[in-house]
Amino acid sequence: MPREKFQTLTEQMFYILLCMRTECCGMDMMRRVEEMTGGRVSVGPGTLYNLLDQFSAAGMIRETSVEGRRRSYLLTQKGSQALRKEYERLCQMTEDYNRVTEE
Amino acid sequence: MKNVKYYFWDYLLYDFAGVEERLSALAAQGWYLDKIGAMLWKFRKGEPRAVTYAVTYVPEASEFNASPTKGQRELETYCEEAGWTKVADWFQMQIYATEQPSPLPLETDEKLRLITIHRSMRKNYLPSSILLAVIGVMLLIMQGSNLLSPPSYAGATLRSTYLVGVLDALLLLMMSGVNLGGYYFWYRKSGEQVERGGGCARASFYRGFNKAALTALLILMIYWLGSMLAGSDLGMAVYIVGYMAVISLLTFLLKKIQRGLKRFGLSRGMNIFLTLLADLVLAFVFIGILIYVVLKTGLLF
Repeated sequence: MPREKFQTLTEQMFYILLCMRTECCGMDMMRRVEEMTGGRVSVGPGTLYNLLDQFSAAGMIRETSVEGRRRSYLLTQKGSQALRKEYERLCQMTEDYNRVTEE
Repeated sequence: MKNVKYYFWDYLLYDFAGVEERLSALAAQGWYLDKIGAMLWKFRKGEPRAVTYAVTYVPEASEFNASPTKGQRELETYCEEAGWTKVADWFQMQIYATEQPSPLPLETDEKLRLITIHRSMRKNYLPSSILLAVIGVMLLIMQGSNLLSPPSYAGATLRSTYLVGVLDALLLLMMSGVNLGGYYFWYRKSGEQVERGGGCARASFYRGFNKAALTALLILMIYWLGSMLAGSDLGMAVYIVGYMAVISLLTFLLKKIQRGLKRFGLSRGMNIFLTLLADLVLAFVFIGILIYVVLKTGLLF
């Protein structure tokens, strides 16, 4: 059975969605992801644009305002659920790791 | 010394790595991309500099859009934020450049890059290759059946034109086959590599294959023309050269018309419609002139 799109999120997807828990301008996301991860995760502008386009098409984010060249986005209910689901999946993986390594 | 140079650009639309490397190499020699034509790319001379070129794709972009789409403008904003400057676009391919020593790459997710390239190829490259194949098949059936069972009134000359038609059809089929087959293998290999955590495949092999196919075709054409001249069939050779010149002129003029229509700010749909209409009218006129000249001068008799 084909995997549903966005069933699991890449690191870049995860952190971009995390940025949009509060209203965030697209132009600021690249910097914010680097700051959040201490430089571990980078999102290129081409990747950022295509991810925002895909998230928007999937109804996971919505555009909230446009001021000149600054477009801001916010997570929708669907986007929040996807982010939460990914967080829970990662937590489950951490628990599984801890349990197996303690055996 | 020349300030302008034209390069025959035979890179495939999905060969992002090849395009990036070639543009960077030319910049290191002082040649900077100025304008993108149908087959020739124009470069302008400047000081040699270490410029990094990078390419990304916007599936909704089109040569028929009067102005950049909202998506292209948004992408440009993000790229500028990261220190990249827009240089040009080539169908769905967006070309950027930077002189930063360690720039943030435009694409940092290979899987997403492959998905975006595929979406872009489905907009233009693949449908036009499929259309080329369909036209090739139709031509092959029509001209092939005429060649195998020519009408009773068809003399040697008319039968020769059927042969030209069959060869045209085979050329179209070969080109579309190379385009479609090459893309299929590249896409499949890229998918496998990306799944293993690697990057998209290099497309240079397919470009090389494309080049070899076109070169073989050119050699065949020259040999065929030569044999016609040697066999004193000057008329047919002139007709074929004239036909190829008409096709080249048509391609050149249509590109000019398409660019001109964009300046009027017409919608993409209207631009496509008017360009196709111009294509039809010009093809009718030019081929008509060619046939008139051929008949009037008795070249094929």
